[in-house]
Amino acid sequence: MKVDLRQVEEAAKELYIRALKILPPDIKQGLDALEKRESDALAQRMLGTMIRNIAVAEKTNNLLCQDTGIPIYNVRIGRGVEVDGAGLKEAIRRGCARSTREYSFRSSIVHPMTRVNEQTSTGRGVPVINIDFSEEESLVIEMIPKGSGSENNSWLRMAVPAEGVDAIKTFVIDCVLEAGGKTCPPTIVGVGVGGTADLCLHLAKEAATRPLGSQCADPEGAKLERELAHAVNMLGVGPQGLGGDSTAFAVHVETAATHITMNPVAVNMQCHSARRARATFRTTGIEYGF
Amino acid sequence: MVSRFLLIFLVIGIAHAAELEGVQLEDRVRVDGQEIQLNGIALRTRYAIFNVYVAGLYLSQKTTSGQTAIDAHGAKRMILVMLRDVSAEQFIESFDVALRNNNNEAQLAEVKAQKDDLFARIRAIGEAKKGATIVLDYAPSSGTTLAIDGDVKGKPMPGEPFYRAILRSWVGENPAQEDMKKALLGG
Repeated sequence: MKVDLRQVEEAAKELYIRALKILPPDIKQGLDALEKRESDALAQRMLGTMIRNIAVAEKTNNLLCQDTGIPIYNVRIGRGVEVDGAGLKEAIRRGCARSTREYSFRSSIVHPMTRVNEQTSTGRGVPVINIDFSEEESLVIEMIPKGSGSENNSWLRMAVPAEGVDAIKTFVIDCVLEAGGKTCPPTIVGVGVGGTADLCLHLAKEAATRPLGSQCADPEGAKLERELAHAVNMLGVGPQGLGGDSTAFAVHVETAATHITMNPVAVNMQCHSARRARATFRTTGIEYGF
Repeated sequence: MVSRFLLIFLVIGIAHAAELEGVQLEDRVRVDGQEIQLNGIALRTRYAIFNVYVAGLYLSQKTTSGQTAIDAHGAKRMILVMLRDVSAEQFIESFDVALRNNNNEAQLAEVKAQKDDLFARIRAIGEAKKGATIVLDYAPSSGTTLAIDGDVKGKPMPGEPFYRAILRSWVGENPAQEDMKKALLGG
């Protein structure tokens, strides 16, 4: 399959707009489930308001949240897919900029020192484009507008092996407590375990942006997900930090092998407006989804 | 002959100790010259994933009732064997919440001086390290003592009401951990 870069540009534009306006069904179901089992009256009302906000945004074709986030594009190039790599990145960048100009939503991207906003949602190194490869005969582009409230609460700890899994658990609980309401809970708590410092943080981001209901492929990671999800929802942070049972939809863990003398753990969270959109390019055409 | 001797030794050893999470507690101890027995052994956890300490409650007579344990006269002991490092402030915060959840205003007012004294002694220690043994004894002849790894901290804090207030934290109406209360009461 040969990929037309004009279609990639259009998809990159379309994905950003879709992600900002339509929440994936798993997140909506997650909010409904939390509302049903929430025992705190105020928290339950808060969840109800969030659910209504989503419905109003979608009904009026408006944005789910004023924060258009940092645009992240995750690209998976399948087997047999023919594409110009450098061209692909440029096409995504152009599509991202066009979405901001043509749809006219807020560009949230500035130079880190001058703070100049080019009003294109792009800048040096942004959009973030992660490229990976897969066995499937398709090209998949996933778009994630990562909000600053949750991204500002990101942590890395290079624990020592002697501290074991206990250090990982303690770190996650401490991070969720420190974040409090700043991450716009209920959140998806993404936890990276292992790898190097940068890989660990990347794993945490991957975990935070995974669909609800998915599970870590590593059985040890999956076990940790269950334990931590239970513990995190005992902390009483609750929706928007106002107290309650619903601190997190889930805790997602991603793992990687690490060095014998290292025990890295990272936390990255996704807010309750856990937006994402996906385009799958096949020989039969382009399919949009989540 | 040697193996039979070893077997008898092991059986005696098991009969005289309860074990939880690798922590062994004696079946009987002496406080204020009185022999008291282990009423129950329990695990204190936090957020269901952290093992904080193993606790043992010693009374002169076994009971499954929290109220009976609190009201009972005579020597008593609560022993905590730490399974993780806990700072003095964390310990005090948790202890204070449990005291307030299980004692009414009059009961708290009655023991305020002793409570402040106990918390000051805990603060002075700084941190309860993993493996540390914390013992809170009640001796009818003198009062409540705090000992860390066998080292008694300060003079006894007077009055039975203070020890009752402390015990309510674990086996009162709103215990710090329900399953722990059950286990301390032999459940």
